[in-house]
Amino acid sequence: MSAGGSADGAAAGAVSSTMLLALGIVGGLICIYLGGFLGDNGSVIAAIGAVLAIVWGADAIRRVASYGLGTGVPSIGYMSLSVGVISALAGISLATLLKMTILGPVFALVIAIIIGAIIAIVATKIVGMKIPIMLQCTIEIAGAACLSILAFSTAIAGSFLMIPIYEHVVASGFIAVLFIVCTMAIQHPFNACLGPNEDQVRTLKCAASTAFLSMTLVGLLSSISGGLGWFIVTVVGLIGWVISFRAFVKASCEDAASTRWAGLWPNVEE
Amino acid sequence: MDPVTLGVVALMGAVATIGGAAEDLESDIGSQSNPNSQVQLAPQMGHLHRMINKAASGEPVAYGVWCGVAGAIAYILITMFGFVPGFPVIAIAIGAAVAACVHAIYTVTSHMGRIVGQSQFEQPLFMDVLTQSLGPIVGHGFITSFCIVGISYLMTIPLGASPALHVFPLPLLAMLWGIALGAIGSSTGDVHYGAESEYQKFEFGGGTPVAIQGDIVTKAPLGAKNSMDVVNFCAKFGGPLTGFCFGLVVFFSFWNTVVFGLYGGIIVGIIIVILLIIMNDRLEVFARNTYGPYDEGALSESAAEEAAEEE
Repeated sequence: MSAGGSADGAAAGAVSSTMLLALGIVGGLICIYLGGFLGDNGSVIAAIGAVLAIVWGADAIRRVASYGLGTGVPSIGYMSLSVGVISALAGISLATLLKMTILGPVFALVIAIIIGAIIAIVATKIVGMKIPIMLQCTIEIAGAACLSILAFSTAIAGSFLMIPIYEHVVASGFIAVLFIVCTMAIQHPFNACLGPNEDQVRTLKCAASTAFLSMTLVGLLSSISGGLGWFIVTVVGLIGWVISFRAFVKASCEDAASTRWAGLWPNVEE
Repeated sequence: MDPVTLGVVALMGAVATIGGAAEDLESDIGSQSNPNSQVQLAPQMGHLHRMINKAASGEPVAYGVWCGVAGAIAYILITMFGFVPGFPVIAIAIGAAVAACVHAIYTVTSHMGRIVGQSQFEQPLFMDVLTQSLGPIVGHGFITSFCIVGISYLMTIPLGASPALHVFPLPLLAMLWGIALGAIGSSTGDVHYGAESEYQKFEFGGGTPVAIQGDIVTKAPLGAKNSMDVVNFCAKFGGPLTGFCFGLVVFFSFWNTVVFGLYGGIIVGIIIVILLIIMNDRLEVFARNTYGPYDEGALSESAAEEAAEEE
């Protein structure tokens, strides 16, 4: 589908994907740990970890979808987020079973990478999808999905341990909302911006806005566990959303062929 | 059979019908789902337009988000203030309002992003199109989220002497029913969607093959065709039909087990599915033979006429 490809075929960008990857993994994990240790007051740090992971995931989606996935953009997001949910819960449960609760988030990330790799190998070897960077990108998206789910769960439950997360996030059904909200936040930026004139910086601004919007929602959801942490998460999320959304709208108006408030389109030779 | 439960199941079916109709009309205004890629391709085909291009993923994911968010917010409020009589209705409305805000934000980003992604074809970014369509899109979205969270809530509370219809928590049910509604709006609604309006210059019944994608009609009887014209067209048939379909799905999900018990309900459900398959097949064959371009006799006649004209 021609609408799926960016102008230069594979996705070149102004922002290094390696830097986003490092920021996503290292920043995400550090924020989850800090958020977990600080309890209710650390919710905002954990939520920022999720924002970093979502921006990383959106960039990975952009790279793999530039090969012309088209309508497959939401699909790969959906699939990877299901990996993310499974691996996040499996990781913290495994850590509890092995009595190494401190390693829960790392276990979750490793499980996500393994499942992501298996899915990518099935997609390329058995289904026969000819996308060269499928393996790397599926692993990255699954990892980002896992970290974003775990970070938001930590923000709601105030801990990355199994029992509080099951009590506040799984039993209440919020895990389903986190799954679908993170799916949207990760796959939407590229899906919304695709086209021959797609631009990485603009897409990442959109990614930041969807991530902060999700953070605001998570702030509202985390009011269920009490304390005032939810209020800080909501306010910081709103501020981040206003800044990134303004940046995205400004960039869109500048990059548009023309921005009009009335009238018809210009006459162009067909 | 408990008459209270049966009445609530009937109410759920009616509410789902309203929600389903609103969902389909919302996706028709936003050119979401199937037509979106085609509106997306229009500038490349030389048709600059004043349509909304709201590609916030497919409808299932999008409605999973709106309904999931509305359900989660309602769940929190009901947990906190549920002891106030009648409060759940207000809580569901507040949840749907929050979901409507999220819906509006995603609509703005997807429309702006997709139009700017086509800037090399000189497609202008019409801000008035966005501001005019945002209200109807969000309004229909609000009605849908309210209906879906409403029926999900009815599933989670004990009815009369019966236990609750479902054991899942409200946010999970709301998200699942949102995805189900999105899938039905996308499959049922798409057959009667704006394609008939956007592709009215092509013969009815031929579908939208890849070769004509993006080759849309961009002018209305007066001025430029916009997304409101599409929804006016779809409101007569496509929207109500989608609502009817979703209402039946919700109703038949519970009616058979409520009336015939667990095992009897499964057997009745299978019979209903078989009857529907036969009816659908008969209806489609009838419609294609009567109205579609698949009349082989007519095709061969027109081919003979063309051959005669060429000679």
